[in-house]
Amino acid sequence: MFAYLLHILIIMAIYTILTLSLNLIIGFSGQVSLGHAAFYGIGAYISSILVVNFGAPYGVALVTAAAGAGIFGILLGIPTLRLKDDYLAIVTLGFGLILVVVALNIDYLGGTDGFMGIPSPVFFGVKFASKTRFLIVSVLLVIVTILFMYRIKASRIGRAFSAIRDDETVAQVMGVNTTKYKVTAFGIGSAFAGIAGSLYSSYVHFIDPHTFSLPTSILILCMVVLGGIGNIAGSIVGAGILTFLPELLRVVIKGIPGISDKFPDFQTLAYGLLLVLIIIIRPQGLLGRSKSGRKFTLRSLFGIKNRA
Amino acid sequence: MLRIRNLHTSYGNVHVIKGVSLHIKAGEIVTIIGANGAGKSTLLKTISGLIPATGGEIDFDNRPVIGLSADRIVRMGISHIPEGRRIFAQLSVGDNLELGAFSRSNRESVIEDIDRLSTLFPIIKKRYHQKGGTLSGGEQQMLAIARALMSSPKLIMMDEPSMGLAPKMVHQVFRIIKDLKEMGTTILLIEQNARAALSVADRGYVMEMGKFILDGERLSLMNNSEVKRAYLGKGYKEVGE
Repeated sequence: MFAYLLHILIIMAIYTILTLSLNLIIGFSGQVSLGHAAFYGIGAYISSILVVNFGAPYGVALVTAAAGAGIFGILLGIPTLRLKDDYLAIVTLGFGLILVVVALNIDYLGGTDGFMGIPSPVFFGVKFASKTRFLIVSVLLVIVTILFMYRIKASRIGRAFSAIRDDETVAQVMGVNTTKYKVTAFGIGSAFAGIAGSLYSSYVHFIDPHTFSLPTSILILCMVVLGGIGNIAGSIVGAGILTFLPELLRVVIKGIPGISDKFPDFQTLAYGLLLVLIIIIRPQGLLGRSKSGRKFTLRSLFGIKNRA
Repeated sequence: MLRIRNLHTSYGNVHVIKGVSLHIKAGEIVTIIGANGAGKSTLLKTISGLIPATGGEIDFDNRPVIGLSADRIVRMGISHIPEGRRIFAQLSVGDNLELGAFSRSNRESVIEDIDRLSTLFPIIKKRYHQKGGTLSGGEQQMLAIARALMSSPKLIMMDEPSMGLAPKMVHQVFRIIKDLKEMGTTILLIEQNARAALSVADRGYVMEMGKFILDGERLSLMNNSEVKRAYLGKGYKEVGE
């Protein structure tokens, strides 16, 4: 039971980093991304290849995973961030899907069999193999991520992000190079997703491309939306709830005879229901404050105008 | 200071600016008056780099502006107050001002400027930590002007600063414009409220259908029978006077 709890906490930590990183892109700079899991995957594969095939120390692999995913984010960002809203959503969605197919067809990455034998992280000769130790590493990385997010939000860069999110045209006449800052947001967000990927791969010791496909991207997006878009504490809460909820549902369903056999996808159903409820009841997310001026919600995210 | 020669701009197939030439000397207030859809806002957006020009030249301080990105044009010293104020509603008044100074790197002089503007615009001090969206329309216009001044511009372009404001606020906005003029600021002012605009301007251009049909000194425009008939209205007193 204790080990199971630790497991949930570790997964929660990984998803918290992912949610915070997507929140930076969507919540801070106002850009849509439906392919965030792809950067998570890029980080996971870079880290695993470096450790397994090149015998790199885990610290190096972690940093390289972040840098690599960040570079991919920038490379995707440069041509696509001229697009807006729904077009950007489509391109990032496509990018995520294409990357999964590509990874499935590269033998070097293990193809459909996945990539196996990824060791636990080792820092300064200490192996973080046990769940307790791994949790310590994860929580430290979560704290670093949270601190980074608060720092960047209050910085000049964060201000540029807010300006772009609120009103891109005015941001331009304020002298903000909007393309540069949008690409920056994409790069930083992707880099943190890469960190999460590296962490995940060294935890489960096995990765395959399907883990980093659309459902994961949507799940991360749900976490951001649930907590409140743009809200750092909200992202943490959103990740926590949506990691814990399926586990809880599993226990609940087991308790109700008959349901678990007939509705194996009951959890997915509950997810969808929860998201619909949130959009109806609290469109600004659990911790999102209702704001004066333009509301930034899932509806506006997809360009749906609230009726006056 | 600003010299435009034979400028053309199009939105796709729609030819909006059809060969406009204009010049502004340092310290002048120049106004462009004209009806809705004449192309006034498009002209400003072309100057500030938001819309690409399709032909002609724009020189600022004898350096070509066309083809530069909007943020580089701000750095050259052109500040654009867009139509409808466009305050960052979710950000505090202070953050709005900081964004106005985004192109500047000297922190101390930015803080000095915020202090200086606080005396010119008392609402800034009063509402410094409040969100921009909670301000009234007139206060938002004041903030928009203050924000534009934060980039320490050589030229300020104002797009319809009186739009949607109560008469009292229109009056205040134009008083600020007069103050700025006395401080030696160069302003390109776009207005539908022609009477108020001509009351502060040195010179003016009249724009119709993407072209300047008339230009001249303030008094000659005010006494021009065509301008009187079309824009000022006979014996009609407009707010802001």
